[in-house]
Amino acid sequence: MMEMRRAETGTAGTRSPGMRSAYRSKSVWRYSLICRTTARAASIQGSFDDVPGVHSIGAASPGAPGTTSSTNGRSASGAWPIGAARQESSLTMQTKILRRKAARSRAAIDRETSGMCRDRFMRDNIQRLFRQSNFPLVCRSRTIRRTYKANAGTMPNFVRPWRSECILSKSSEPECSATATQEGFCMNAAIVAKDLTKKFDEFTAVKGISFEIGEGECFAFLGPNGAGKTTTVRMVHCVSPISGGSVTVFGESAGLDNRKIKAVTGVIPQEINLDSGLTVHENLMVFARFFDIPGREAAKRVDELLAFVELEGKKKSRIDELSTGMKRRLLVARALLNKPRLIIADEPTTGLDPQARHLIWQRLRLLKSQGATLILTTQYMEEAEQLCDRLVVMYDGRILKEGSPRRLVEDEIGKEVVEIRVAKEEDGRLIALAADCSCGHERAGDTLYFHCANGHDLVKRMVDRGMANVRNRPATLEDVFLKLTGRSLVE
Amino acid sequence: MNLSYRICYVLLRNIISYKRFILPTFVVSLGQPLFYLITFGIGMGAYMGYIGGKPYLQFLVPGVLISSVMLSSTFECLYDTFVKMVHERLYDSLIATPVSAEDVVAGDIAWGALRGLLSGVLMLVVAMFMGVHPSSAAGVLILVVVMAFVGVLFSSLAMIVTSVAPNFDFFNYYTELVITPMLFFSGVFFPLDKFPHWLKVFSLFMPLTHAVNISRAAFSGEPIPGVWWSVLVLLGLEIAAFVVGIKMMKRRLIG
Repeated sequence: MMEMRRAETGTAGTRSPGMRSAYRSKSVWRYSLICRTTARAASIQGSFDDVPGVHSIGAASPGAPGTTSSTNGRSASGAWPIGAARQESSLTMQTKILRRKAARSRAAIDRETSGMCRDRFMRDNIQRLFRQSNFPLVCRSRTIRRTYKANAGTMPNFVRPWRSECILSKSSEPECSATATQEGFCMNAAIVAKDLTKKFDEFTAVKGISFEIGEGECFAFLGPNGAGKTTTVRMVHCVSPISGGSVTVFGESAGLDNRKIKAVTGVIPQEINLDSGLTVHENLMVFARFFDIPGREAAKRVDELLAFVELEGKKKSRIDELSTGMKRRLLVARALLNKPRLIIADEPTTGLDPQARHLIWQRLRLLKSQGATLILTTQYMEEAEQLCDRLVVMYDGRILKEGSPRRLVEDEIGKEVVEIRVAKEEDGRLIALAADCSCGHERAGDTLYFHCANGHDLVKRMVDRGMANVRNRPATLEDVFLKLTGRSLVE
Repeated sequence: MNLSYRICYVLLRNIISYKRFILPTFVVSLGQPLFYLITFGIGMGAYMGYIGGKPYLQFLVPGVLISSVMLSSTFECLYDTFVKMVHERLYDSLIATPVSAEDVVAGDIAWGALRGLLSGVLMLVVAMFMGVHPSSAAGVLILVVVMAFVGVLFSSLAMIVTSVAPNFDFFNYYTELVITPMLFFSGVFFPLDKFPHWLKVFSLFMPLTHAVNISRAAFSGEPIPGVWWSVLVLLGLEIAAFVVGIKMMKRRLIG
């Protein structure tokens, strides 16, 4: 888990100079302690020991309590089960870490720490620690954010770098060390949405969703047709009025026609809306003008971008002479004219052959590695797995689940899936047969699915019983998607 | 209203796109009014004798000039705008840039007006070759201003129609029920004196009547009674149509 955490955040730290100001100290990450559940705490402790020097714990939990929608049953009202045992455990943990640190720097420990704060006890604890501290503290939880908002007087500098984490900086600003920004999760929230709602007359397309996207992150909205992905994204890039809630993009409040946001956003639209009255070159040149890019600079960028999407040879072509793949690539080039900080790709590879699709993926990954924040909406699970760090699954205007692709698959499905094409009447017998494999099962149409950690044993049993049509395969995001959004057709 | 200098960019886009279609559209925007001038002006004019002490062609030109502006602007902002909006989804790509929806619509209205002005000026040149001149250089200037003005007016009105149009067929209602009657009841082809009173009143509700009045005054150099009223009516209507047109189009664009 720590590895993932680091992978998610490690590279990001180098990208945005802006966020460094919010994130000054090595101690910020070094002395932070975050944990969420007792169960997790144990596993964290293990990895903690494995990774000396990185003491930030408790990684991004997919579907983190309270961070997404209420459909995430267990977190509906932030009602994480609170038990004395858990409190004790997290305290124990905290103490342990404090002790470790004490071994290194006893003086620092007295001044710094942070903790989890889902229950009152911990909250009070944190407040106390904060008051004693001269250093910024890190915490990842909503409750603590609320706590600190309520206590603005005693906690003057409240910065929230990324997602549900917050940095609580009291006053002094210790120097930022290079390692801190590279190794720590120094991330600014590029986009923060709260209770975002979109109504069309009678119909509510987006029903109060909240999410945060870190700078330099690739974030995907997955969902069937009509789930509200495009509508959400359109509100983010300021072409559709917001009916309720709010979105901020790079600190700017998004609203209809916010030109500042639009100027730093590049949109790869779902539909091919190139200007068919113009040639390829003219398309880009005219578009560059919309962004106030002066002529000479525009000409330079257009040439670069045409090379970037491998369309140099088509400069003089008219749009209707291009293939779909070429048109899509041209759309990518067009979206990059203004060197966007935020790239929005709304189903960018729909209807493309594998070659063109891979080219677009490569280009998007390259852009991400150059520091752009990427929002992707897609129905292709492979696309999401290829590109994104984190995703949400949307359905019927709500967010069902949030997390990294790998994490979602593991949490929702497990490692492997065994598919058995068999009549429904056999279900009882087969499920009984698999009873001791600790597998989840699901029936859809003509197929019975078992979700398990290791399907081999199960397959062997089935084959031994003479079952045909048994297939064992790794669990994919598609399984998660189908499990969450249902297998029946969505209209 | 969220208008900015970016209107010019939209206008420029249209001009660049237009250069490919210059010849066909020139033919179209010249053709119809030219036929009017030849058939009505010269052919029928031979039987009409004099109107108000002048040959019929002299009477006809100021009207046909304005109506050609009207037709060009109207068709540009009906069909071409509809294609750009619905078929090519061009507006969607424009409003994803710092260009606002209002800029886009205003830019297209400006373009419609420019197209109208262009065909009006072409017409004026042809008329001058046929020996019909405005009374003075100032008259020419006034005419150009009036034509630009009429162009914006009818572009804006067409935008209102486009903003509610589900498909091309819908435009027929507007062209057949509004534009065509306007052509015949606004004193373009004959004076309205002989109309019954109620028809005269009716014609006063047509913007084209007022535009033609002003145009006649500019050609003859003599003030026509009530011409200032016409200016006022047109101005009011133009502002209203512009604002409403942009608002309605915006609503359609941003959904």
